[in-house]
Amino acid sequence: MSLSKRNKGILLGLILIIIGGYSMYKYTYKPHKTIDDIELKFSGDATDFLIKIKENNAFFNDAAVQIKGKVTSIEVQGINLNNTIFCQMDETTFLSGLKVGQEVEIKGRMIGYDDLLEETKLDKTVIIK
Amino acid sequence: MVSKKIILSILLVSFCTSMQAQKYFTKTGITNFKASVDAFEPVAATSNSTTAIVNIADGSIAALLFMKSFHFEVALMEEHFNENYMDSDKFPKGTFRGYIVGFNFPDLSETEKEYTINGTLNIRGIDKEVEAIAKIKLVNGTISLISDFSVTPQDFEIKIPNIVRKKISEQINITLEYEFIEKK
Repeated sequence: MSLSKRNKGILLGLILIIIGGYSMYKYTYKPHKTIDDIELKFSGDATDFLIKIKENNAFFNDAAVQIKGKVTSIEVQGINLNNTIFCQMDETTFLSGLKVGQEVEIKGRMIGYDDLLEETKLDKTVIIK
Repeated sequence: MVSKKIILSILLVSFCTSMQAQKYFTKTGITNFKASVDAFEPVAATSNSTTAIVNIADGSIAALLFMKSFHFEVALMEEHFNENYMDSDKFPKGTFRGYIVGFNFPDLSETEKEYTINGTLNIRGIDKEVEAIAKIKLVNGTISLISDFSVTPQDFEIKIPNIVRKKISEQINITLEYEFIEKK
């Protein structure tokens, strides 16, 4: 089967439109970033994190941070680490196994320093161990 | 002399603790906004990590929310919201400070009551006076507050490009649902 030049052109045009449309769609409806897609800017102990935050809190805004710390309270949708880091949980994370006083390692997105309650706020938090 | 000092310090301590107990707060308040035009894709987002504090002694209320905590259904819309419209890196916060007019804590009950809230909303570093009607009730020691009000993009000098002007409504409706618990 051989295609005429004109038909080849139409076929090529159609393929281009399909590819273009598909990539447009992919671009417009791309998935939300998960915590693993966000750049990790800190990994370590909660006390070190609090010192770093004091120096330059804007640096960590919107970045992923991985923190080891002590659970100081358990709240409706999240936990407090070392009293001043509030970690709001990812919708899929359950708090059932956690106890106050326990050492945990979490990963979350820093959303900012909350000057009303004087604490650091994270969301999309997952518990690593 | 010494006893005077002791009495004074006891008074001071009890005063401080009573001050503490007069505050109710939430860290996970829900704030929605909607700027949709019918027939087009919804332009709406929710933040479920709004911090808000009510001082029950005088009815003053303060709220703070991070722009980047707004979640849109479409990820690209969220990106555009933060980068092109809100400049979230430059102005990460939206704040509100105001008063619940005629607030008297003992008046609260399980039946909803309507109050007016007056205050200043600050977005992108620009202040705007707002007035909103709020429904407030007290259930099992939790103050629940539901309110809504509208603003316009011009209020905060948010420029909307011509190409999308038809898809974004002129009035942006903001709704709030906060559940305050006592701060200990």
